[in-house]
Amino acid sequence: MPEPATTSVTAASVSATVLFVSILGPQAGPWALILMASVAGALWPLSGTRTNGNVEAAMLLLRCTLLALFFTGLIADYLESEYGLPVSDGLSLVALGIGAMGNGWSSFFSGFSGLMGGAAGVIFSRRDGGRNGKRDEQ
Amino acid sequence: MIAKLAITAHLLMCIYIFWSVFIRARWLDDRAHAKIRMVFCVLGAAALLGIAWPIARHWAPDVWSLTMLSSICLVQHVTGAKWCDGVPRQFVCRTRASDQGSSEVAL
Repeated sequence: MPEPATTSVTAASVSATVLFVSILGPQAGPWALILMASVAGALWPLSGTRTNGNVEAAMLLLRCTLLALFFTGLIADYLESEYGLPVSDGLSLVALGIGAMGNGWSSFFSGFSGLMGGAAGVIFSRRDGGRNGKRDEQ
Repeated sequence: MIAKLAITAHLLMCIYIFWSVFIRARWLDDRAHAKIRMVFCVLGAAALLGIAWPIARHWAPDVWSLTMLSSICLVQHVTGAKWCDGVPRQFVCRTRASDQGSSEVAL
């Protein structure tokens, strides 16, 4: 005769899986991976931030996870509507990357703008240099 | 029935490992060694992947993977006592200037 506690735990876990699959249908597998990849990515900013308690740490983890889920959902919706690509396991890598960015978006955009500014400076300096060269030749 | 029990044990141990990593990551910050942060993030990611894997792949764990998981759970449980007061000193590579007035290297 099985133990009642073991049976209840097994039933709870199996029913949670059934509920997850029944809500999301055949997309349950990829979305489960995307969800867990978002949380996994959010662990990196959590491990680099000093927090004052479990609640604050959980809020940081939740914020980064929801951000990763939101942007991954947008990307998945765009890929499905524009190119007819269904949600796949590969998007979990995208969610992992977005979650790992965490609070670093400002530095990311500042670095990106610096890179673009540097590239623009190189391009325009070449153009100016060419024009100056022509002027020098004239 | 045995497969369901194995999946349940697998899920519970993955949740425990993730919780133990969360408790440690809550203490970690940029003063810790990057390798330490990385390995705990990898362990947490593996635990989370283990939670999603039975749903995504209809996979059932075998005895060997359950043994490995239970061993990792034991390691996390035993070493958790070292984290009750924060990050162990051996894992800290530098102190903040606001903490000790300078950015000296601790180890």
